[in-house]
Amino acid sequence: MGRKGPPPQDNFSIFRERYADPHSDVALRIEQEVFGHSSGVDGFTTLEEADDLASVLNVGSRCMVLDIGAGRGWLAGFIAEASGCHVVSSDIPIEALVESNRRFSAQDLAGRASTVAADARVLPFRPQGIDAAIHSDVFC
Amino acid sequence: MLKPDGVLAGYIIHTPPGLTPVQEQEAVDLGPSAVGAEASPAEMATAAGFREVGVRDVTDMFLATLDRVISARLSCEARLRESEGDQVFADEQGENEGRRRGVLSGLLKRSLVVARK
Repeated sequence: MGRKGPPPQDNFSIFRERYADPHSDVALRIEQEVFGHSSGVDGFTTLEEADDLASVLNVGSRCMVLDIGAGRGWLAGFIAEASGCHVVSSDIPIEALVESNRRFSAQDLAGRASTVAADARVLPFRPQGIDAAIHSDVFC
Repeated sequence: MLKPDGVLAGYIIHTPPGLTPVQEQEAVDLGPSAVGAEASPAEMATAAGFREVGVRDVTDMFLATLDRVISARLSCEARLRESEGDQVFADEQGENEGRRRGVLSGLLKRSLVVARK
């Protein structure tokens, strides 16, 4: 979409490595202190901002929300819990999606939350199948 | 993909309008590499066919978050260096301090952008 500046340098490898690396206890404690949750985040979205995002979506239990570049899926899981909607967590590194699935199971979101390995530029969804799409620090 | 009236919403780190090419490059150097754009988030959303585009500036919260991250990581420096290594610690601190400088110098902003299909 008209970006200029240098192209990302092998972002896939960087993120794959990052998601495969479990966060240390001290890193998770810092996340909890700063963001209000400890989920191995890679962006800057706080719990308060996630709540604001859920509010503007205004979705309910019959809605499908797609999280683009979802990483470990904390934001998708938060939105699903906050609104009762269905969520799809999409990203490219399989390591991130494995973590998403683990999180959704722990949150008892089975049946309402799923993952898709997909590039945000070519999302594999049928036309008009998604009620809302969210992203956080993905398109910068 | 989105239903008619479907919502696209998310947080975006971006540059403010009116930067010179030199400032734009400085912003790219200080922030995420994809931060530079030829149009504002609202203009890009509109160009992509969205309407009712709303932009809420959350730069102050972004700056507060950066301050807290930098401070918290510094306070746990020894343990972080042990767990993630000296290079990762230095890189993380350097990136966050760069973003902080970018925000303080007016080169970087963060916004919640909401638009309807």
